[in-house]
Amino acid sequence: MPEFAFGDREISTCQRLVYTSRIATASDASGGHRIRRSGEGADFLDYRRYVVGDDVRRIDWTVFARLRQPYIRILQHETVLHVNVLVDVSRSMAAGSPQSKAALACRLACALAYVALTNGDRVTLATFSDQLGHTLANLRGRAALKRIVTLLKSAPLGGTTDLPTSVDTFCERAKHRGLVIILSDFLAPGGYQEPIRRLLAKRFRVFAIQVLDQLDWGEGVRGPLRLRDSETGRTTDVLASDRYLNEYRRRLREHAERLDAFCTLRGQFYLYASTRDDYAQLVTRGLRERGLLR
Amino acid sequence: MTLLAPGGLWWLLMVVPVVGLFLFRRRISEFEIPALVFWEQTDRRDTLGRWGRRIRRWLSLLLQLLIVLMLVAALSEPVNPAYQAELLVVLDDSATMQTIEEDDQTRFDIGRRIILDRVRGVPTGVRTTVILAGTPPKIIADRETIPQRVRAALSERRPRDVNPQVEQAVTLARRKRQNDASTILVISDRYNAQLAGCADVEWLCVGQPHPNLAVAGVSAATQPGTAQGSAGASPSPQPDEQAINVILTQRGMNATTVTVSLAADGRELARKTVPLQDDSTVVRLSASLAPGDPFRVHVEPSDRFPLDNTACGVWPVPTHVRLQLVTTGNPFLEAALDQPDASLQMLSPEEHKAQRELRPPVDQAANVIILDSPHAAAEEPRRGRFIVFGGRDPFGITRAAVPATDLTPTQWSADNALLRDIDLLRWHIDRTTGMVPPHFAQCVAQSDDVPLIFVVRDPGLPEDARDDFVAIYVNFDLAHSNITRRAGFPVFLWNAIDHLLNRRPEDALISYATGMPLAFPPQRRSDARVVDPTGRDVQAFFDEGRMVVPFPEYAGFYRLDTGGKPLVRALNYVSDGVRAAGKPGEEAVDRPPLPRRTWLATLPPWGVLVAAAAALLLIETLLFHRGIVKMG
Repeated sequence: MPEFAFGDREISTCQRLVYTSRIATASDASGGHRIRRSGEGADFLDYRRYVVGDDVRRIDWTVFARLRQPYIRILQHETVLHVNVLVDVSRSMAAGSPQSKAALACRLACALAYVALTNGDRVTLATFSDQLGHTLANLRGRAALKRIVTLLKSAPLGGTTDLPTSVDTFCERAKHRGLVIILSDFLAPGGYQEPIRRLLAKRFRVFAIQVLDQLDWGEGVRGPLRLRDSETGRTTDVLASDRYLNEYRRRLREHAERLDAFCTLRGQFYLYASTRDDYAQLVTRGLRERGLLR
Repeated sequence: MTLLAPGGLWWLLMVVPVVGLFLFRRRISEFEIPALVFWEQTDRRDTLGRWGRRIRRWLSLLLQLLIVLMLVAALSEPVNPAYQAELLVVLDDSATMQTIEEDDQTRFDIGRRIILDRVRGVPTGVRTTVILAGTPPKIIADRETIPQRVRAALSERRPRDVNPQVEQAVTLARRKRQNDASTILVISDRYNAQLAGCADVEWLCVGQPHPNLAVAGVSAATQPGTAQGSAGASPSPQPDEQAINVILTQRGMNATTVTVSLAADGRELARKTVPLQDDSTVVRLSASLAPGDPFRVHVEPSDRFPLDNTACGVWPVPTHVRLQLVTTGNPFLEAALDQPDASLQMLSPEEHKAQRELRPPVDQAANVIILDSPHAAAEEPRRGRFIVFGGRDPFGITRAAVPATDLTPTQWSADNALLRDIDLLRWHIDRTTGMVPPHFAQCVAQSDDVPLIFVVRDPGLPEDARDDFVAIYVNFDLAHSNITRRAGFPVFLWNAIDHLLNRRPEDALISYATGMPLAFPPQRRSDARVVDPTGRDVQAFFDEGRMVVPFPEYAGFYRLDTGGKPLVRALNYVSDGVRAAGKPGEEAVDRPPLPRRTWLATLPPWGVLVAAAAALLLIETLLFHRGIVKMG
């Protein structure tokens, strides 16, 4: 079970933060997020020139009669954002100093859920390791934060990471499109490409937060060692010389860069978080810079 | 291959922890990491082949073992027999070596030139040991491999005004010798047939036996008319005068008329001309001087060795003790009796018998006669002062009984002057000679009912002449006891002599000859001074944390004065090596010669350990923790 704290100090960091509208997607329910949609909504926003493919039923004939040019009315639609948070609670997330990767992931998950709950959005939170774990679906209101914290604190840390299976299960259960935030170290051998592609195919927006510790970068690993995988228990003998460590770090850096590029090229979001990073900085600066919050 | 310090091989035990640590280190410690993915993907290929990887894996162990072996080699000092050639030289530097020879060179210069010629002929690497055979013997070049240093050491030397100790010097050279096949070159102006006959000794006599005249000694004339061969009647000294006996010895100058003069403060006080009649001539002079005034006795004509033609002293002249040791050979006794202000005459039992037949008044030949294990019973006239060590009673006073064995003294006269400063509790007698003292004897020490030491005065003599015969019997042979190896032995011996001569303790000699080094426990260097048995400060230096008196002149009690409670050490003499005694009454301890050591061997054990650990740690750090060695 990850040990972390999410109290008034952490909550105060999240005050006045809201999700940016670029991540909002259309939804049946009305909410606080305004999105531009032609032909729907009640509030007039603007006109724009008709282009091929637009529904001709949306052409404002009054304007056409006056200008002899087809124009379409743009209306503003207020919708609700569904924020889905998937937190990796596999065995590999237990490592970390001064806080474990799981603890940092849980604090970020709480912060992101809190921002959604305070803005009237709906939050679905689930843990995963080798499969999708406990889930809290369609939470609304600030009071739901307590349930989220309780769930995360009681989630057992263990098992291997199987992101594809967990995402498949999530996709089957999800009823609303929205934002999917994955908090993990993304070091599982199964890869991350296929699950993210599947989420995108389901028209989810994806925000990948990769949480790593200095141990992942090889800190403290030196000399002849037998390395044991914390999840699978497999071992391998290495002599961690400087050259070998540099090579390892280069590969891990390339892995993180590939994940970042994979998300960015598809219009999705990526954030790197270290267990040594300051929580407040991550929330107020990291998430803002990545365009998730404002 | 010969090892100069085989004890260094003990450091081979360091191989055990080195190998143990290597094997322990090979058991790779396990380290848990979140995921193995990229660790396994990282290229671990090695460009070296299988054997190359093996060698590199074992490189650390090989280098560490190499360091241990080098350490052992440095500490055990192996010597290649091919380079073990050595030159051992004993050069007599006693006073007679100052004698000037035909080419205006002293005998010492001639001997030195011979050595330098030899040294010049030996190649570098040959270990040259040069020992000066004066009193005490001195090593001036100790296994020196550089000829220049030998030459430099020799060029600084001059003959000392001391007696020779060639035998001890040869013994020392034998101990220094590393190759038993090496011969010892002895250069002296005397010939010792016994030593020269040894297979390992090459004796080289320098100088010719020139006629010589010498002042052998000056002593107070306590008994007028007892001087032998005194020439010319001299009037009895005035009450404020002191009569002195000047003892002259000569060689090749028999019947020569010589003039003996006594001078003080540049003024001649007495003068006498006498013919030399024998090997030894005593000339009696009288003078009146204030106590403490220095005086000078000179004899003419001069000769090739003018040093011994003059004797100097301080008024009043001390009583000279003449001792006669009758023995078949006892270096313990000889060394203990060879004192300043005492002349010792060594005689074999046959010589002693012949001398007694020629010169009946034995008490005129010597003040005290020491009989070591006499074998002839009832042959000695009962006249004189004797110390009898074991053997058969030469005076026929005692009765014979069955010898007792395995004894320690149990009763003794604590206040007896014979036992002053002696710890009898540590004496052990293997076997007595079975002498039973007569009823008039005074028993000084005994073990239960077995007498060990007793004093006999002949009751048959008139009352006023009873002191003419006093004998101290020691009821065991020295060889059958441990007392000769005890620090108190010379003390006991001189207690006995003083007792026989009726000398008070304050008048008695308080020093006992030896020549052995002496070491005190570690002391602070600043304020420590060593006082010898005569009360003089002696030269001492610090060596390996101890305070060492390198050449003590006397046996007996030495005092280390550091301002607080003085520390006392007693010295005794033993014949075959260097021995230092502990505090009075303690057993003397063998002290082997210090081996020639490498700089590493001069480090204390903890220093060697630290150096070895530092070297091993350096290798460990360089090879393993800098990633030079990589496991395949």
